[in-house]
Amino acid sequence: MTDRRPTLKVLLPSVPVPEDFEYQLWLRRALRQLPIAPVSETFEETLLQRLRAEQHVAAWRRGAFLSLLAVALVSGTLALWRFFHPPAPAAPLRPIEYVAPLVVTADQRFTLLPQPSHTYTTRSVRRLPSPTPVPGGTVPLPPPEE
Amino acid sequence: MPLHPDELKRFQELDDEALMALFQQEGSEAAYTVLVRRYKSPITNFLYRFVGNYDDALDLAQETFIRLYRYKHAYRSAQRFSTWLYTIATNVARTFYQQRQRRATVSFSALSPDEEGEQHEWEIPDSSYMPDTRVDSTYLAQRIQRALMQLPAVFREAIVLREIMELSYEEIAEVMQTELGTVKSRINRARQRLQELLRDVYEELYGSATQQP
Repeated sequence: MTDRRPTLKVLLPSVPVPEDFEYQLWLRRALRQLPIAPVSETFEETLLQRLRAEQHVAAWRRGAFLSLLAVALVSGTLALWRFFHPPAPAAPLRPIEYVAPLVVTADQRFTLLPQPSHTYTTRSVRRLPSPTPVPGGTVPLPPPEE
Repeated sequence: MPLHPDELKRFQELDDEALMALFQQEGSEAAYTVLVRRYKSPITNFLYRFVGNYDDALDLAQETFIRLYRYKHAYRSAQRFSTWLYTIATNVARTFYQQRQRRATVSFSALSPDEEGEQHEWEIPDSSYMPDTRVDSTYLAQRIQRALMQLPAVFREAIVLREIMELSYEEIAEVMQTELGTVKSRINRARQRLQELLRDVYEELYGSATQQP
């Protein structure tokens, strides 16, 4: 009994290989064989220095940021307070207020003196007596000596 | 960052996520140090391949670890640590690269979405780029790095994460904060572009890049 089944190999076409297959292979191998860039011995030391410097700067920045934040908070709070508590309006805009009259009670220390009971009139004013000549009473004075 | 040997040994046995949890919750400097030691080389390497300059890469790697320290509370324990760290490094590198390119970049993004509908900036290649010989001492490495620098940033990012850092497509999508399909497309196009840029190098070494019939 002969085997009439065709083999898989015959049925399937052969896969074409690119003409420059070897060149492509060489190129990929060459890329993988490129020299490795050496790392300097001071790499870690330099990295540590840069990290420390960065942390120092970051601390300063954080401090400055916190200060700014504090200033912003305080000024914001003041602004809010000012917003909710506006200052009293100026005098011309102030509404007229009724002021009750001031009542001053009598003070005993300041009682008025009693009013005079008698009023003077022109008739009751005494006049000086008019001069009357006294007989023989006038003696002329001597002239003054020089 | 000096560590007591016993403390170091104890921490080295922990995985990344456990170390990160210790650093995040208890502020453990030792856990942070072990993470830095574990990842300083891959991160520096990734950044070097992205920015193409060794000094810049070292500086950006340090910046990455500073951000890890600063933003440790942003890490979610469900996330893979390495992916999260690469995301930080990618963001650091992007910022740096954008600043550097700003003077030389002309944006046509509003005018020119590509065939996937993805919009990106067309960058003027930096023809004055000189590979850093402290890392890339061979001609081949210098040519590859130069070719990488000629790719648009998003393509370079994707191909470096895939071919050099060997991340999976899913991880790259997470790092680049984009869709999986977009990642595959970017990697594919980056490969095609690199093939164009480096064909002459291959042909110098091995003859024709395509098989002769």
